[in-house]
Amino acid sequence: MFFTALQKIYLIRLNIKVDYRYLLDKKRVPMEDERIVELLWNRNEAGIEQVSCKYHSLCYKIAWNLLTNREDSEECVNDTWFATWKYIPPQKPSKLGAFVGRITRGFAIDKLRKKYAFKRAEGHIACILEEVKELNYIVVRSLDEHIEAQELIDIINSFLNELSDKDRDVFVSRYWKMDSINKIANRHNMTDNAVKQNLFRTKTKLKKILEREGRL
Amino acid sequence: MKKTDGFEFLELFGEIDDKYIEQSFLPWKSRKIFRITYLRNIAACLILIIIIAMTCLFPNQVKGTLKSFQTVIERIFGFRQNISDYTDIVGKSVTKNGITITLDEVVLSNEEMLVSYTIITKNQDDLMLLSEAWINDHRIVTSEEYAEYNEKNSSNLNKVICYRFDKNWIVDDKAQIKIKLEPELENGKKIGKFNFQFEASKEALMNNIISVPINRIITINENIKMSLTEFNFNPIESNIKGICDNLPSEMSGYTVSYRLKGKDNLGNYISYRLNNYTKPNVNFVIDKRKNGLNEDSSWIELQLYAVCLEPNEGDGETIVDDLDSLDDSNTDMNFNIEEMGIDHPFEPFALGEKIRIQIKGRVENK
Repeated sequence: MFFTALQKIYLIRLNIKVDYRYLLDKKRVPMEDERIVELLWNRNEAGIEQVSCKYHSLCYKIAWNLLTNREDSEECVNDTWFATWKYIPPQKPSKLGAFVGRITRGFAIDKLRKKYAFKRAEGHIACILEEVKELNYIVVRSLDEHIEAQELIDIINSFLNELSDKDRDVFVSRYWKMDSINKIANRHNMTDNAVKQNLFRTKTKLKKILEREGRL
Repeated sequence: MKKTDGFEFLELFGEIDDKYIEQSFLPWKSRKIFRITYLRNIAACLILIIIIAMTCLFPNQVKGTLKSFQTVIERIFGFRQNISDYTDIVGKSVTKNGITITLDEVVLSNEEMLVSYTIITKNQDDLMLLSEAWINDHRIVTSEEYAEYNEKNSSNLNKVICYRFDKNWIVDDKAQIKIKLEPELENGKKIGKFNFQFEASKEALMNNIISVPINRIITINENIKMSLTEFNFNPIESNIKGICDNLPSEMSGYTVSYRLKGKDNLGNYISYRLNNYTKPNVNFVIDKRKNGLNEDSSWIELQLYAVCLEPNEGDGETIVDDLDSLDDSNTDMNFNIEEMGIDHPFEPFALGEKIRIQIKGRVENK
């Protein structure tokens, strides 16, 4: 789905050079998303510089949460800028942060897939994979039964919409951002056990909904 | 089933709506929720404090409210039979075996409950009325009972029964009253049970009651003084209560009857007869054969009279109850008619001076 091996070659061919010195410049005001998208849309290389300027930290954090490795995380972030250049146009994202974050997350998952293809996952990610084990089976079964992935995404979106702000934030923080239980607990002023309970309840609800929808 | 690599759900979840992703990167704003929860806790604490404070300051009212609430719940679930309201019970008649008893009026006055009935029966002379009553499930005792004047050959018998109770039994200003009447013929034959049960507020039962403390002393002779202490006027009767240590029951061998007679400020003739003398308490009850006391009267002026009853006398103004009420054992303190200079002992003769009782206004009784 996402290109990884050829990305650097493309970047070299497109002559895109990302200058990371801007990260040290605290006074620099980030450009608005609309203008960045406009630059990318017009194939202006400054758009890549701006997007990396604005979202490097966010993308690196996402990648780090999954990979917990500096080099791998940096590679994922660089791949993200390449993919962004590739996807815009034709896509014109309204929320650029979420757009680039999603790309980074996708690359990071691809990396994890390869890393743990022949061995058991370990550390923080192993816990998350264990937590979503049952949901994996349901998703695979549902897709086997000719339910479109987009249909499942719509079901999940509608489920998230029904949740309270807090429950939704806890769930997204854990399974999208892959935050640790402790970090989520601090963010919501809860205990670790309360977060675990909350996640368990929400997961159970989602499981029931996916099972029900899968049967229909 | 296809084997999973463990990332299917996470990969799919990566495609959720951008807005949820964006929200998760923003700082968490929980202040609103916190404030609502906090205010809710504060409100609950305040309500609890108010309830505790009210319970400490007004225990009777709180107890009353709880009892009312309990009554409502009991009624809803059918644990408690529906009790009539006072306004519905007044004038209610119950007929059994040819006897009709109508509850005319119920009045609460201080620590007394007065109940007036009309009994319609052909053989009223042979009839005895046994009664029992309860206020808020406390049994109350009969302190006095008398029949009012009835026209000759009338089948109507008007009775007033006075019950004594403890005013602390009415805690929540509500009184549940149960009256059980059991008329019985002289031969011991029981007619049946007549039950009246109702609920009323203390305010409704004490409506139109005038109770005036008085301090009038009537000097009957050197040794005997009657002190009148209380004047009462209510929809059932008017009475004057007092104390007399040695009220003679005889005069020169004749049984004597006492009355307080006089007029009010409007010129209406008023007469109170001695209904009960339970040493040392005297109770004069108004005689309704006369015009009675007017509600608008502001004062009354009365003179104590005594009259000797001839043997077997029982008609005219003399009421048999008067004779029964006098203490027969009190023979030591007889009047000597000659010493008192009374020529016609069978005619009413005045004792002591006139007294005036101020019913309304602030003018002091003289």
